[in-house]
Amino acid sequence: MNRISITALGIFAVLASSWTGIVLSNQRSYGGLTPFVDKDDNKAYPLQLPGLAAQGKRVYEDLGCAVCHTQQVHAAVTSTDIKRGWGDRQSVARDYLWEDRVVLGSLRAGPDLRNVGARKPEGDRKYDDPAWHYRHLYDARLTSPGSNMPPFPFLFEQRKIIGQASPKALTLPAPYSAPAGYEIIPTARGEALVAYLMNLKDTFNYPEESSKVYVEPKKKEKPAGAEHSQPKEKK
Amino acid sequence: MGSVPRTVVPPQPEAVTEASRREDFGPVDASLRAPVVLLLGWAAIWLIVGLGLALISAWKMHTPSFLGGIECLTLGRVDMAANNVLLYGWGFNAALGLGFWLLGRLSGSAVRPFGLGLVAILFWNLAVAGGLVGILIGDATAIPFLEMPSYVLPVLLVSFSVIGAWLVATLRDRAFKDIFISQWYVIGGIFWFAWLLSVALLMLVFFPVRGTVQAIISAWYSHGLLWLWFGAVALAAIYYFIPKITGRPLRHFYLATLGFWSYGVFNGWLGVQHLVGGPVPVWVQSVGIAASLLSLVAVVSIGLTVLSSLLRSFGSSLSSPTLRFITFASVSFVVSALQLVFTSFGRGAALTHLTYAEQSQTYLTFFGFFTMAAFGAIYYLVPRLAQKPWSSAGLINVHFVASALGVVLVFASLLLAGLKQGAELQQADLTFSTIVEGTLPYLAARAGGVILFLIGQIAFAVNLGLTLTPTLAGDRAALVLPEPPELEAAR
Repeated sequence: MNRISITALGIFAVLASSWTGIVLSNQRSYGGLTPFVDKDDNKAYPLQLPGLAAQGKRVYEDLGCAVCHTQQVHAAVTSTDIKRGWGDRQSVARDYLWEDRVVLGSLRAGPDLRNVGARKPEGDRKYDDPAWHYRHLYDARLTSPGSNMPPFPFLFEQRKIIGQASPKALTLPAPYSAPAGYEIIPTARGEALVAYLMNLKDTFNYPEESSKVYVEPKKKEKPAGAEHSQPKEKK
Repeated sequence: MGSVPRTVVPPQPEAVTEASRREDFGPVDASLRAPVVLLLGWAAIWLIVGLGLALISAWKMHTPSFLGGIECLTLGRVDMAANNVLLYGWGFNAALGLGFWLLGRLSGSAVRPFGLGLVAILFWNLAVAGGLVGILIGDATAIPFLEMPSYVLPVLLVSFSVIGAWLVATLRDRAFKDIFISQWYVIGGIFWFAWLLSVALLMLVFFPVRGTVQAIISAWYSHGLLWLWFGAVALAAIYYFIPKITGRPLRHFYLATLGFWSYGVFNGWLGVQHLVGGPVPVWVQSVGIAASLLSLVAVVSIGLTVLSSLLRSFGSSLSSPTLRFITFASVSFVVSALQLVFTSFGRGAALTHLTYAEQSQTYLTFFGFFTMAAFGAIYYLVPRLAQKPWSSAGLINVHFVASALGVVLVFASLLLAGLKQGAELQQADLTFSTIVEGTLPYLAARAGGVILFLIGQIAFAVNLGLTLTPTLAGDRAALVLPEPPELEAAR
């Protein structure tokens, strides 16, 4: 009987050690991380997602986008993420503060999306334009030939044009375009997903983290971040 | 058995053929029939369903237009569904079936019938079915390896606890005083997984913790699921079947204790090495790297025992289906564990992190190591439960060849795709599209591997069905029990 209890105690201790060391210690050390209140514009960063974008995050999760896309920009010293335009700085823990479900992802079958809402256009790839994202989601081959991203036609509907054509209608080339008198417009889920993508931007530089993480030296601290972030414009 | 405390070095499973012991095992095997046949039946169904989904997912990876317009079959959902069905459907049923066999046989006394336990097995599988449908209709949680919707997850925890308690209770009724090393692994695995799942449900699903602490817990859970549960059960089977079938004790068995404890401790601390470079504290990343290096102790002590014992009886391992699968699993264990160590830091991490190469390691752990070990065990235990040999020796050979080639092809293509991808991601002047296009031929090869593997599993499922069906339908008393050597068809 004694032998069982010793073994059982050991088995308990095995996982107790890692539960304490990995789970509990991290929860205690930064599980209570708070947002940073910027005195200049009196806002708490990171910003919460607007309502439509928050719904879009659910679409992102249920379609399994995280299977192929990461949401974590790595430092310039260890990766080419920043050179690829995936972000201006490395992602830090505080960026994910409000997310009820953190979807860091573990495979880059597609590019990192953490900062796609602030990504600068590259040639025909107009990351700052929702219309580009709609076409890209409708069929990625339209905007990125050779891509293996699945098409998402179910985020769109084809409907008859009654009266004036919708401003949301997609402009698609020949094989994809809707028949005469019809138009292809995004569904509510499609709009939510694009709103989420357009809101993925970690452009604010936290003073506390900037001292710890590697930031491109020539960038100016605040103005550079504020330039690309929407919140500066008074809504 | 003497009175020497056996906590220090556990005894080995008996290295004698069981012909002389058959009458002792009769009642034990009879008591195991209900739970094990039920579990293996479900396992085989989920294996085929899961691989079918995995094939759709693999095909979509290089031909995105394939079933492109169907929302419930979009790549992300099918991929999550395939993973969950294979892990919780095939993996758990098979692992629990093995657990019953190992604990029942090693305790030497009949497992008590427990109706609630059988109901729990049914509920577990209903939950997996609910999870599959839930993912396909869009209720996935998006937590890696725990994507099933939150409404089925508590059912999994409760069912597992009931089945686990039933298994652990076999220790109380045991006829042999000693606790064998395989029992340590199974009991450890049950306890560890129950803990892992409880924490994941509380801290990730129902009361999610703040920010990237979630990523750390998720990494801890996924690694634990693969290594502390599936890996532990696979090692239990490996330690049990090698002496059982070769008829010779394991070599270097004094290392078994060291192997067990180092395996448990360091795998508990692993997982977080996958977060290297990510938005989590740097010390956690370092802990993951340190744990991966320390896990070499476990790899060496377990690998040395297992591989040297197998090498000594290599001839007989080719003739026994069980040992063929067990040998494949043991080699996969060593390769996968070493790959984990050497891709957790430095150049190895930079090349493989967030690429298909990381997936190849996970794949090898689950399919090359756990799944192949489970097949080895199934080839041994099913004839003893059914009290007749396998229906077809030819199908066993098809199963082994197709599975082995399938695993190697999928693993190699994912690994090569990942290394190419990793090397090219480091060159900032290469566009991402170029990198993606470079991986497509490898992804096509991977889909070929999945097809090959699936063919093997169909052979297995047919053979299992043919072997088990008459036993369930006809009167068992009429069956004459053949001598043990004939029980393994190809031996």
